Amino acid sequence: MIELAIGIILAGCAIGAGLALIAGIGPGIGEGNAVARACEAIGRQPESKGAVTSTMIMGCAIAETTGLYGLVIGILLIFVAPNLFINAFKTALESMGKL
Amino acid sequence: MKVQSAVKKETAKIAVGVGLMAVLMLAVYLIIGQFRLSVLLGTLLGAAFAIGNFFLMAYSVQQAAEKMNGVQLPPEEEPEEGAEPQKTELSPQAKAGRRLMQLSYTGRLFLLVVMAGAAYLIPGIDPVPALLCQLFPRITIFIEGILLKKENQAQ
Repeated sequence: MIELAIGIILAGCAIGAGLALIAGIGPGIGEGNAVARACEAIGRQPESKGAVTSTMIMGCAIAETTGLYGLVIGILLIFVAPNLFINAFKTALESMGKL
Repeated sequence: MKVQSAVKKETAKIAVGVGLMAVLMLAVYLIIGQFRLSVLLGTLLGAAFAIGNFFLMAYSVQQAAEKMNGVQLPPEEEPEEGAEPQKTELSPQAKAGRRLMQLSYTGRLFLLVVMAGAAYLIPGIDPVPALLCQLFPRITIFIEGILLKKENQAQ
């Protein structure tokens, strides 16, 4: 029974990590499109290159954080959360006198 | 290739912000009684990686922008009144810039996974502060935005 519960915890963590990593797809596409349009803008107005580059750096950093959040949550769910949840589960069982 | 002053300036701002927030996080660890050498090492690794990641991203933007050196595109045509603006086809240089940025993003995410794996596998490093440090650049940009807004309002 305990093995099954631990298995469900591990599966939940793995599924959650997989779902969180989906967030990494969007920023890559969006960042690429934004930079492509910025390049076009520089091509049309070369004198605005400095301002466009500065703005793009900040914009890309903000866009990228969404992907990073997803990745960090995914990594935490894979590496850190399983031990945490299993220990909490075992502690709860011990306190109920079932372990 | 020479690093532009805009890249250096923005990276320096982010480095200062990440450094301050790392110190703040260590203070919180100290207050809750969880401060250990592994936390300090994890914070140092995470902060260095966050700054390096931002620099690489900014450098990629600079390289993408420099693909347009010597390229002069015609000005965009104004759409007629009431008509929807038409999507123009991207120039080959802009497409190359897009590819470069997407490649850079994928590479940096891969590096982050490698860093997280290393932080987890090396016994003397705590992976949690190393990963938390990756969120600091966004918070720095957010705070900078608030400060600029206040400055503008004051002016």
